[in-house]
Amino acid sequence: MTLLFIQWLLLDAPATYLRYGKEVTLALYQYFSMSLLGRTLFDPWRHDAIAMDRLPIRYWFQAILSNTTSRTIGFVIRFVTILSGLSAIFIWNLGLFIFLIAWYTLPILLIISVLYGFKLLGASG
Amino acid sequence: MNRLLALAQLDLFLRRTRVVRWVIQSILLIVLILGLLGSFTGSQAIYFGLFFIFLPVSLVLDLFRMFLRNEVDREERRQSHEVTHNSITYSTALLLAESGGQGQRLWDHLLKHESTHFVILRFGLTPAKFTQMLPAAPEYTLWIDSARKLAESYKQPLRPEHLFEVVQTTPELTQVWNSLGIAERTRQEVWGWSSRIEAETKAQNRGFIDSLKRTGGIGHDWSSGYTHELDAYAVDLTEQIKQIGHPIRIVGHQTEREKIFDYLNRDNLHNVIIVGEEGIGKQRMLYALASDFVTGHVPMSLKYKHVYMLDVGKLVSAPNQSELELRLRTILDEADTVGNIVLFVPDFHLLVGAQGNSTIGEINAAPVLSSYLQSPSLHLIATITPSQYYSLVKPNAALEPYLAATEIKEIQPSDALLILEDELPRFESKQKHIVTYQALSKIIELAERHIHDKPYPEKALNLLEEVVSGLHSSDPLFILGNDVERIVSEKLKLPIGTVSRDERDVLNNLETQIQTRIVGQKEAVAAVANALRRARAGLHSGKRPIGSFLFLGPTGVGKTEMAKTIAALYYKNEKAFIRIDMSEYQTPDSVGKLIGTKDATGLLTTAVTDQPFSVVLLDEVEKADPAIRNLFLQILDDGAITNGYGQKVDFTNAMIIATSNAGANYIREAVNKGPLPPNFKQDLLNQIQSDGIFSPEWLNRFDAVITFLPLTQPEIRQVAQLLVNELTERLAGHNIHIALDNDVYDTLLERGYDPEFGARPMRRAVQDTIENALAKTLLNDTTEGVKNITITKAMLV
Repeated sequence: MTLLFIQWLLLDAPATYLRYGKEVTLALYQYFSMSLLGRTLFDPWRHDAIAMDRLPIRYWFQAILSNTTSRTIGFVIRFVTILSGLSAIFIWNLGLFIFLIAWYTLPILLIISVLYGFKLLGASG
Repeated sequence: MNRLLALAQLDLFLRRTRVVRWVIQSILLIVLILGLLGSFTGSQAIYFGLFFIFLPVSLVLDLFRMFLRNEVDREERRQSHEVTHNSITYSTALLLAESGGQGQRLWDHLLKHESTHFVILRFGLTPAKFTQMLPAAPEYTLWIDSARKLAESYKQPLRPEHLFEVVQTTPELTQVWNSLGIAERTRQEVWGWSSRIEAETKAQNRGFIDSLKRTGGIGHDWSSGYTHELDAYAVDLTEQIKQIGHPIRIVGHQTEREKIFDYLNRDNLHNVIIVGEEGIGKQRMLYALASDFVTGHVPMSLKYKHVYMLDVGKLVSAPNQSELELRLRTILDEADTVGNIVLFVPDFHLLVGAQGNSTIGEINAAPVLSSYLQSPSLHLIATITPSQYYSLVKPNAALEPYLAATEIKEIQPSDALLILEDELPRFESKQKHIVTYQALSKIIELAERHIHDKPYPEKALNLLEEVVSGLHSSDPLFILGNDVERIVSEKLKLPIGTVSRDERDVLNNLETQIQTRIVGQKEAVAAVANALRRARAGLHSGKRPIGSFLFLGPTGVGKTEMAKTIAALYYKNEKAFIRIDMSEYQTPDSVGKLIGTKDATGLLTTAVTDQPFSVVLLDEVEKADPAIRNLFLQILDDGAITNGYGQKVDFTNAMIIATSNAGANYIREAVNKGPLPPNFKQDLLNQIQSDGIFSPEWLNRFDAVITFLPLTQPEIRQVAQLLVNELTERLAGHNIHIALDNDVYDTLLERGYDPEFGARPMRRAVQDTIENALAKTLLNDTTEGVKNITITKAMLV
């Protein structure tokens, strides 16, 4: 049982966390629709564009202005969302990295904690 | 010892000692607070010291629990994949660990176990009642051993159901199950039901990450257009399904589902039309498909699509045709532009149904639809009935090439039962009763036997709805099979279910009952009584009418009265009687009058559709044209006929009685010659066939051909007595009591007997003779209150 516990602590559990971390990263990637937003970065916002093929020339300027505005809004929102997604993925992975370091050093940290506790008790006594 | 069992014991130990964990955590919290407060008093070192000592203890305990959970998951996975004699599920391992090797404790815990509890409740029992039924639990080792053998025979790890099932063979419990009418196979089906719920719950709890990967994120809606028109004229099924909170599964139509997704996934021909009869589950199929879109169980190219169901009724309510077309064009334009829409169109015929001059509510949108159906960004799934498909879509070149037809057939009764199980929570949530498995099985049984004009699952769901809405707060908690019988019997006005003692007496003495209304005709009375007993015992095939008789005999011998008596005795309702005068159908073209045409309803088909549980009397059937008579060959064989609208009309709950005077002279002559010869009936039938009145195949379709003999004078006298009794009862309601001298009957016999018309003139004779005499007496009587009058021969005019 002890060997199994050590195996779990050092190999199985970190592997599970890494797998879980990868799943969450993929989920965040999906949640922020990164690839889709990347592909449609310059598309009009919610397909809100005026078709110019059969539009009289006198309306062209207005249509170009409207379509450019729609594309600009679309770009800004998508870009901000992609940035937010990248930030979330970065923070998550950073957190995971710190957690894994803490996990591997946990046995030592626990021992240090006990020793430090006794030291404090001794100092007060 | 099984490793999973060892882990369960450890887990149980940790659960029982969780108080230690709470104490440690509480100490941690307290010393931390005191340590923080101590920084003001200077004594924080003691508290922080304690905190740093107890913190690792708490963390180690938590780590150990995590390790245990991981080991349990891994071991359970392994044992379920490599099933051996020792394999076990973790919930069973926990049960065994909790029992501590004692049979009684295992029994107590087993009955409290979630799945066992579910199974017991679905049989209408409570754990407490169930415990009473088993005086002592089995010996532990023997019990486990038998359960393991049972599990092994199913190639499954040991589960609570195996522990439960091996106990059921004890004499006490066998008796209980027998008294409830529940076989081992039935119990297995309910365990299957329980396992399905467990699996669905597990699947739903798979969590956020899994569902997110399948259903997409925030950007998917942003990359598609706005849906103003769709929001106004369609229902967002994606949202509706999300609100339901659980997936809707397809039962019995899995192959069709695969086929539909296969079509939708194609580059061309990516629109589907689901073809199926009314009530066959087209709507349910649409919801189940929408559910697949919501949960992401669809091909990659269809992922993240939004499902809308067009409100066709709202759409066709446009004030005029051009407005309607414009509205449809705008909706389809939007659905196409948005780019991620799957549009469901129920009742597709409403959009393409108009032929030539259309009216409001009926359009032909085929040309409008055609151009959108070719668009790769719009997927459309429509539903229609087969007859509408073959008349409106198949021949339409604007639609047919772009709609892949998928036909769905009626599901099996066993699949309908699964749908009832799925839908039950929706019904049960509205009231406090628990619908048992026996009740659900009974619903399927009664739907199969008595409802033939609707397919599954509709007829089963309708019955379930009837049963649930027919419940009263005073009804018991558990709804059993006999409650279903009672409610359905009340609704259908049919004797269903176990025969009560009173009813048994009536059935055993049917001959006497019939003879209170029919005089003489012993053969006819016996044949009809036997047929009714067979029908009540549920022995009829269910695919043909309940009974079919041809009554042969002269006029006025009780043929029609016998038919009315059957309606009163079997259907408990004398109005459950449809009389068709067949002399009105003497030409082949009168068939439309009987079964309807495209423009008019038919007398017979409408009457039977309105009142399927009835006696259908075909009076004077010999006078109908042979082509008309041949229509009934189909009814007598298949129990159904197709009406003028192409709809099937069901006759399996009806009793068909045809009456005829054919052979009346032959009967009269034979009776006059003296006692009837043994082969009289066969000779009569031969005579009728040789006269060309009825063909042999027509005569052979009836369950029985029954001859009615001419009434003798004493029998006519009895008829007179019956009619007088009827009159007496009627007058008693008006406080008039009459008595008749014996010689009055002689006068009635003189006036009411006609050898050619039998007892038919007798009703008139009673009316003219007695009622006239009575009227005169009453007019001259000036006394008040109850009147007692004796009718004498002298009073008769």
